[in-house]
Amino acid sequence: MDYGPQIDYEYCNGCRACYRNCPSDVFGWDEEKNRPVVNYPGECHYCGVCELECLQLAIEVVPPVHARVEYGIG
Amino acid sequence: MGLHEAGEVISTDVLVIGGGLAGCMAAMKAREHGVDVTIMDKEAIRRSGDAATGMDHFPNVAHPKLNGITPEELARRRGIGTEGLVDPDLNLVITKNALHVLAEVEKLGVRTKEEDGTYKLQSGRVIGVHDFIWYRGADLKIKLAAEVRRRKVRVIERTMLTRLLTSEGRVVGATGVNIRTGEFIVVKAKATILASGGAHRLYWHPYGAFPSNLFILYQDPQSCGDGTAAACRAGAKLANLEFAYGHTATMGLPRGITMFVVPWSELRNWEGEKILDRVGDLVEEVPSDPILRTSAAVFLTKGERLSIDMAPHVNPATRACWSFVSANERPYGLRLARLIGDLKDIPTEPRMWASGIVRSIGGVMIDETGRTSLPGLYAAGDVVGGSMMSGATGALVWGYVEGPNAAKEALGRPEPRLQEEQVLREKERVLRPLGREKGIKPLELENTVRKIVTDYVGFQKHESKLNYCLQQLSWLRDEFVPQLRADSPHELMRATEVQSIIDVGELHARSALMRTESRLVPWHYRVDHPRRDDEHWEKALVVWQHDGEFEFSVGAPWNE
Repeated sequence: MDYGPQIDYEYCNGCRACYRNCPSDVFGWDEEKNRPVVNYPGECHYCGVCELECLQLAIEVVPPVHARVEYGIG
Repeated sequence: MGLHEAGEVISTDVLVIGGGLAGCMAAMKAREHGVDVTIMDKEAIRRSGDAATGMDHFPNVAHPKLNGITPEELARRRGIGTEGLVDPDLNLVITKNALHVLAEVEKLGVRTKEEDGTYKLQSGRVIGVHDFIWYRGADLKIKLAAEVRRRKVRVIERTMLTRLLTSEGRVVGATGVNIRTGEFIVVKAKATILASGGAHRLYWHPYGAFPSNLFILYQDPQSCGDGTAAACRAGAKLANLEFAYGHTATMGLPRGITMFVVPWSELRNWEGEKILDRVGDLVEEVPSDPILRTSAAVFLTKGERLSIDMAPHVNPATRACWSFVSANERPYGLRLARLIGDLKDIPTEPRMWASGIVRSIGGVMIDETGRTSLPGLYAAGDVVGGSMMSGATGALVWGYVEGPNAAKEALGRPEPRLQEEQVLREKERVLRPLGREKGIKPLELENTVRKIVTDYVGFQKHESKLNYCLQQLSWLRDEFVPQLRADSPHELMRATEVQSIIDVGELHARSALMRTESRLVPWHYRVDHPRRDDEHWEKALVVWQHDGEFEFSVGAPWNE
């Protein structure tokens, strides 16, 4: 899904801050690649904790379509 | 079989369930009395609960030298409109302790004051009284959590409450399940503080795509009523569960924008009329609270398209305010604002928005020491009922009061004895959905439950609909819950939650059916009883479970 947290793996350094802190347990951990995965984007409630915690600026939380329509974000 | 077969058994003096503001403060203060303290949290305490991304305001402050009002007078003014529903003594505990907990927070290095050393005071929910302190609390939760660890509290994260354990009429701990490993744990405690947050996942978001519609809430959706349901199952008394927390919101993403927009905007209908000017006498039945008044206005217009016009109010001061609020409490608002382009361009169509039970007003009853009606159990924060809506201040105050009380109680108690049978039965109940190969996914069931609550409890309550809701929920519990299937520990969390959501939904509908009047419109509006009836109903409605049956009483101790 292209809403909820989007991880830019080019910048992610595998520090686990998003995985450790996401209140809704939206992230999982890919042990093989040693990096986070977004397991449950539909359970994101747009608090922004993952963005705040990511010191590498590797995460962007994208609003879902219905919110984009409401706020006029094309 | 013995207890050791149930899973890990942890023994502690004080168990705190939930690591939000109330839970962290309670654990911190309990540790000052030399007892062993354990926090069990569904999330991770650094970012747990409604203050996960920070706080910008601290409500309910009173001091004659600070804002010209005594705690007694502020408690009285805050009680206007909720007479009979709430315990005036609880309101007073909050206003009396507000500045004490602010001092605790200051000690942790949170910047509660302006650069000139003064507090920034503004009016809050009582017109004409500057009882809100605005401050830079973006790191409030981070600092509280760090202090909890520094004080060597045992922290068990990603572990949700499944039930409160009882023995000989006392709460003696709780069971939990790890939402990442599926491990079942048992915590034995001499005193337990329930700080699990409000019950926020009862209603349905009409726009979001499934399953996003279940999680887009103003409050933290992880607080879904686990604690409320567990307290009721254990036999604690709860009050005022009929009131649904509805407020005026824009539809998109409530966490980002809503509450900010309402006070500084003009609510207009499609003909450009200002709505608050013409809603008539029904609005007089709601208190002076500006947010509740606006919600009532939206509710009463029934059907026309409304808009919130921000443009006339966008100026350097409101822009600065927007940045402040966003930066300190609602950071996602900053991203939204960047995407939208400008504050004045926020196109907002307000609708009535419901999440769940009205926090602090509806919930687990406590006395002024924080004790519930069940020996050994305390309740703190939004899970509490029978008090005013007190936000972060209430959460911190109850933690501050109850931590020491629970610690002192624990010091005088012998090691509790668990009922083995109760623990093993609970383990079997909780883990059952993991073993099923076929069955119903928890979020699909939750979606149905919340659609039923929205359609048949909702804002326009009617006896016929409430009865139908109860019938449907009972059918879902009997027929569909036994088919729940979880393919991972994370899904097991959702499966455990939906069972609590059904229980809280039933309590909500039953209570709404009992209260045959309208009060705090639109939080409780009975189409078949549209007027306020002070003679019979200026009282709290109390509910508890006894031998598997719900019992109600009209009137709480403070009504006598």
